[in-house]
Amino acid sequence: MTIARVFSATLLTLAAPGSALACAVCGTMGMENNSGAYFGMTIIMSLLPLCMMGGVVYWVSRRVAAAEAASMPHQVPAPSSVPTPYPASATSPDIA
Amino acid sequence: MHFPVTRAPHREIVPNSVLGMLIFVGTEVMFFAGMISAFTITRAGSLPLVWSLPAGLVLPAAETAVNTVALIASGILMFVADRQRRAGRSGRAAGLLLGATVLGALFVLLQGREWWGLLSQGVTMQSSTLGAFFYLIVGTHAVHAVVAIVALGVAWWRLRQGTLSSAFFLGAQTFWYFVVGIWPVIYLRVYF
Repeated sequence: MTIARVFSATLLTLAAPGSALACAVCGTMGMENNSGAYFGMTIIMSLLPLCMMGGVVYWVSRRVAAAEAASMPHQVPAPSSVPTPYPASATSPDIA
Repeated sequence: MHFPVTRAPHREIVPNSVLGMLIFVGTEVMFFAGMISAFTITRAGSLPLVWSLPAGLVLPAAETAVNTVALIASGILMFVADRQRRAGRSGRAAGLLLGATVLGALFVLLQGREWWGLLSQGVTMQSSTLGAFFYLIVGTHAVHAVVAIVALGVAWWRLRQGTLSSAFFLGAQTFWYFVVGIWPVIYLRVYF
């Protein structure tokens, strides 16, 4: 009995997609005239969201890179115009 | 020796209004792509006599070319207005923004005139499949155009008053670019 139920459910599952019209124009699927249109539109509808998301991610990453380049830490020169090669503590050690 | 380290002040990498509008526009692009896809597949599977308007009428592609030029010119004016605004020339930017708004409104008015002519000749949503697709796709775009024109008008008014925020302007600008950019695709697909 269980095997018969599983078999019936499997059969129904496999048969259902054949008759399911998933969209308003699926009734015309398989005609010679529009097979090319189906193929082309499938490609466009699949790639379009990926391209859009990729474009936004690329644009944002470029903005991030530009912002990071602009905010790189930069050194402020010492107040004295004559640079000191060593810290004062190194040249005159404080010996107790 | 310690060198004092300073960092540039924090700034927004991508304005929230632009990012939000880009996500919204992405869904809108897919919405229009779905309609154009249905149009293309139905057209490819239809017989030539079935895929036509009543009484041998054809869609006014030549007249709509004028609308298309007006809309694209509006997009260009918007681009230049943004440049002027960024340069701090608010007066000039307001003038250009007004020009973009007027051209957008002209596009919608000419579309309405075209619709009036087709309806008076018996082309309705029920008259043929082509008519149904035409009114659905072009009408949906017109609704988007009207909303965007209202946003442009508000932006122009705020710019004149000196209360226009950059976030609002960038959001309206992004939406207007979408309205302008999607139209040539619709025009070339539906009218020819």
